[in-house]
Amino acid sequence: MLELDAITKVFRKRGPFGGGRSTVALDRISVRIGDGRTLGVIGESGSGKSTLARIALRMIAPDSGTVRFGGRDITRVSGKALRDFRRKVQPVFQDSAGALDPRMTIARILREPLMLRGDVPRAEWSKRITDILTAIDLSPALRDRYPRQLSGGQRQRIGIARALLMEPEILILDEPVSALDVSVQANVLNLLRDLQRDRGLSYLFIGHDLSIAEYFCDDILVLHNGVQKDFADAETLFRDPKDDYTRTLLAAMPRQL
Amino acid sequence: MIRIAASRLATSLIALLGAALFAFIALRVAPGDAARLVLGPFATDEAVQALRVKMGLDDPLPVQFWHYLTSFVSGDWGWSYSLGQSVRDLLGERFPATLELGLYAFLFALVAAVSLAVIGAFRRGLLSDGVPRALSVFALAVPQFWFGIVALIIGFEMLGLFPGPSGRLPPGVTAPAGPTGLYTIDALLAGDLATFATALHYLALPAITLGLLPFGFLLRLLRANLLDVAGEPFVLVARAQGQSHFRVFLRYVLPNAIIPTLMASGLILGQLLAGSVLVERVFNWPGAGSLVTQGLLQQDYSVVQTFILLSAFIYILANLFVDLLAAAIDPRIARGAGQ
Amino acid sequence: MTGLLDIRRLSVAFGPTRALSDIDLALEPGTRLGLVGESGSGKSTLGLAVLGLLPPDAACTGEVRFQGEPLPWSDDRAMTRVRGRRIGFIYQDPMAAFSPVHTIGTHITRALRAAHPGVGRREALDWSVALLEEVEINKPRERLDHYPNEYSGGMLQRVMIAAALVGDPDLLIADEPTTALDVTTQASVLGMLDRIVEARGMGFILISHDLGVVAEACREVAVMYGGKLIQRVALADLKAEAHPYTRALLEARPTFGKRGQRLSTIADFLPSDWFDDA
Repeated sequence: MLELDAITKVFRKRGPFGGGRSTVALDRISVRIGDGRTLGVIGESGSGKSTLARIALRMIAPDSGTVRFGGRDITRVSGKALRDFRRKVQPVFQDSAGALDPRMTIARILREPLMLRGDVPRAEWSKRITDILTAIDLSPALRDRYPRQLSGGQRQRIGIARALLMEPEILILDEPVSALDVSVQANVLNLLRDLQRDRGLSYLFIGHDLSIAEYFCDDILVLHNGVQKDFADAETLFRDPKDDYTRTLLAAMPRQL
Repeated sequence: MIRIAASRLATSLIALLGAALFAFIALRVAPGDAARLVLGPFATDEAVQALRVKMGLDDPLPVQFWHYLTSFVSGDWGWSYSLGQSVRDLLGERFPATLELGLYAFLFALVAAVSLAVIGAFRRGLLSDGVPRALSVFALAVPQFWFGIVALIIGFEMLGLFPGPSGRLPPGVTAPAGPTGLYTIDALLAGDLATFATALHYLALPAITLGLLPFGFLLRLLRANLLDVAGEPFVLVARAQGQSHFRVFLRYVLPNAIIPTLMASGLILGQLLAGSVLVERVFNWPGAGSLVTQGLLQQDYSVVQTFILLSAFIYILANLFVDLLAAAIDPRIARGAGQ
Repeated sequence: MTGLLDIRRLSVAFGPTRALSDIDLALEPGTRLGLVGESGSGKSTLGLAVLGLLPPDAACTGEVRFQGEPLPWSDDRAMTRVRGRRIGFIYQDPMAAFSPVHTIGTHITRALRAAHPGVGRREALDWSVALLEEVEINKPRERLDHYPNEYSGGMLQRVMIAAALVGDPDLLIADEPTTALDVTTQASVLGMLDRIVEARGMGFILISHDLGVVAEACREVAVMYGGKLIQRVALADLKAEAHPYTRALLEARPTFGKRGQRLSTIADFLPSDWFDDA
């Protein structure tokens, strides 16, 4: 469905007189997110996992390689084709507080995607918002609140709701539960699983926690300094890791209780 | 550190050249023919043309700019036709007065703001915290000339503590001769403490009046920064290591909080030098402000142009100094420029 | 026999909000206790309260005895002699725990001279080098002149550990010391803490949201919720004797083998009215 093929991205720090150092953020990385499946991209800081997410969202362009969506090369499209793509591939970020405008009520925040879409009659907006709040297990009464009046888990749900209102096919989940408490994390993960089942969504899950990845993802790609270290279905990767770095990661995990 | 000094010096030179070019162009596009202005409306066209050639006004613009630069550097700042005096003599007398007033206003603003902000942020109580807050609002809200007049009414007329609006020194006291033209400094150089004290006494009210606005601004800025930094984790960690409240404030909070204040004060200094016209008027201060206003009204642009250049020069110098000071405090600034 | 730390009926409030209520907690010398809870449980407040470093608007009641004597919270000068010398502290975010405009060497010498006021400049320098060596920083002499932004998070955290140890404290409080770190760095920092605490035989309170992290370096767990201490239990007995809330924390974690299953949530273990009472 969404395919990233041989993506390379180099970041240059430019000095005032040219030159400067460059870091290879991604080195010929290829991933494919199948319909209704979840692909996990796991790595430590500096692994390039967030760069990959931003390329998948077309927020930044790769230096080389192609991004294909539904078989179509969208690496360099613009205008309507890009807007269509953006609507179908929606992000959910880690920092839910930072991603929501603090001066807007929840209802206003949720009206924006409907406004952007333009194909939902204004009369229906209120109902759509009520429906989506119910779908993510939040009380519709929250619509008049401001983001700061919500808990971290509730804000993260609003972030998901906002993405869902665009009726996307793919969600790019960039560390969606990293900032949440264990109990809240469980709720959000359950919600994402239910949504996938009910709506046939595909996920690109970016994360650093191996146990969450193992629980949540179908296939897992392990990134280290922009290089692919391992790729397998979740079960195989944990039972029988091929790469030394994956083994190091697994060994470094805190005890399982 | 040397590298950053060199790079800042280079940018300063470019900025200075830019200021000179700006002043030059402003003069050329201004309405009126300089030669005609000098000779007056009854002069013959031939005489005007002859003067144009003599003044170099028929040369190509780049040549004119070059002449202008070289003569400025060599000390020939032109002739004020309206006052019949060389600009150098005029400004040589007036500019130091403005400079001295600006410097003391700045000094007052900075010292008062830093001390009040520090006291308020270190010990938070009604007196130490509420008073600075009220003061900064007051300083930002009152019009300068109004405060100047009220200060005169109270300080001079009612209490008799300060001299009236009669310039830099009382009549009868001769101005100290010295290289700078700043009376306080020249008096100190000459070892004349009595004149120094008198000059300072005459400076007090105008300097406070002029420095009030920047004082309020700096106080507010530094206070906010101090409170921000005081909440940083590294302050907590230093305290947890057994460093005393006072030492942590002095060693960690102040250096981190003062940099934005320093940067802002560089900008303020320039503002003070150029913006003292009103205050000079209230206190009859014989500064450049009135001279420049007059020059503008009478199209006597050589005065205005020189004043712009001198102000730009001082302003750029002050900012260079502030930049270097900030780089000495914060290594990230030095490294950022060195890369 | 006097214990190391004895917290009695400690309550802390910020205005109308209660951050801690009636905490009783005692530690013998050499105890290694993990203090676990979710955000808002009061676990960090408890650590700061012991150090007397709560913000001035915190209303504190109760008593904390350290090595038999009450801690002199109201006397900040006396507390400076406790902090660093008898109780060490490690903060969660190493990137924010160092002043960006001072070198690492400055940070260490200042901590060192706070704990040992008589130490001279020269001696402080040599000592700092030795300390950096102890926490496995390469080329320590050179690195003393570097600024925090030239260090990685893991290195900074090790420097913070070194600085917390200069006064040879009897109790070390570490507030989420590895939360901001990558998993491999977390493992090495936890390993280092474990070795140092073991070698020095000091008391250790590891504050964390992660039971797994606590299990790496502690033998006992105290679970907090809503400003209260829910239970205290030896790590070995955690599963058998878990309070329902503790069990909920354990079960909500997506551990291996739960693939495809719905994760348990707190509501599965506790009635909704429990939260109001707790």
